[in-house]
Amino acid sequence: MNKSIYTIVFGVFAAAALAATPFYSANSKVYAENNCDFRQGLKNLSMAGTDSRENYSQENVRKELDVRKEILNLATDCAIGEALEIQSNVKSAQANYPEIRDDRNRILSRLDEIISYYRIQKDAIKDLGIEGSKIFSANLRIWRDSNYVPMDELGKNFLIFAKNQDILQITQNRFNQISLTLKTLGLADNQKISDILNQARKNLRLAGENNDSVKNIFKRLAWPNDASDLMVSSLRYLKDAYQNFFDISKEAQEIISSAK
Amino acid sequence: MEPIELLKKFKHLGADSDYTRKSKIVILSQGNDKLAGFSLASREIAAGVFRSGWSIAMTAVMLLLAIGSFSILKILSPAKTSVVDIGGLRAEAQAIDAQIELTNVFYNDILGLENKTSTVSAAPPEVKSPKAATVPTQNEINASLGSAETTSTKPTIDSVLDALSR
Repeated sequence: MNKSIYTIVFGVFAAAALAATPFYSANSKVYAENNCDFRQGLKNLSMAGTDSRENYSQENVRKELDVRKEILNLATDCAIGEALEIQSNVKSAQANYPEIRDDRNRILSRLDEIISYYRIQKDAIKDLGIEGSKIFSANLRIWRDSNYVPMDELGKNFLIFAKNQDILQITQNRFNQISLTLKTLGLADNQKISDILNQARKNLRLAGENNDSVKNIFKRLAWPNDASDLMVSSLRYLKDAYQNFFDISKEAQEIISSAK
Repeated sequence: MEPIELLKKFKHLGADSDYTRKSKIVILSQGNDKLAGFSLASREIAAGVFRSGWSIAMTAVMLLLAIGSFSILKILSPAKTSVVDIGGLRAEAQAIDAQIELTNVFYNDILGLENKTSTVSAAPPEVKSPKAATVPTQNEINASLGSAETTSTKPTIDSVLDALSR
């Protein structure tokens, strides 16, 4: 009895998995294989448009409408693939801190909404006429500008931002380690070394401030934003901090060598 | 003879008693010899341990010689390992360089995407309902389709939507 129940449950899951697989793979496949080539479709549309204008008939109008629907279906499939791709990248980004995980979930959830919207739109294509397809296309284009484009940008910036958190932490650890070593070696009171160490501390602080501004952008999913500029600026401060570490090492070595 | 009767007779099969006795003696005697080989005198055990000890000690010395110079340097000059970990610092600084490059690449990609769009919204990107769009003229359609056909680059989703809207 139990065995047969397990068999049924397993069968249901297997069937569900099989049913779900082609749906997702079809969407990602379209985009992944770079199959979103509209050139032939547009060529067909141009010919169908000319035919229906020069020789107006039900058949020619139907032909043009079919071509339009075919292109729109491909365009929405590609748009879904595009959104799924950025969603997959955001999903796989390392989020080692709770607030970064919150940001990630916020972006993923918004991308879910976008994908759902595309799917609803795709379902509506079959009922369109020629004029309807024109309005539909224009509206979808406007919608993408104000919904997909911001999330695409935020998603891509998030990938950089998530990685930056680890770099910031590593630089902070380096600073702590070098400070401790200088104290252990009795070099922390050396004026020159102390000055460079303070400079490194300042660079770390400025990098942190820029990073906090980016955090705020992701918290609100603000767009347009200057996240890219802020992240580059933050990284440059970290780079300067590393230059300070190199300088400290050089100074320390010189002092140790002269003391021998 | 019937096979069943033959099988029944197999039940009573046994080894020759004399052969059994001799075999037992041979086996037992071999066992005694081997056991005798393992029974070492305490003096021999001590000598073995001493020899093994020397082997281990020599191995340790060789290992120290092999890796010692590096370790000793580290032990003798802590500044060189902790303050002047140039290799590690350089690797981390290079990782930052790479990250800056990556950010710039993404930034250019984003700029490219923005340039392809016409509408820039200052509001947070909430999912909004589409607004009614104006329908372009037939001349605009032909112009757009013509440019999509003649262009060497692949049309984007947005350029296709533009073409379809005309």
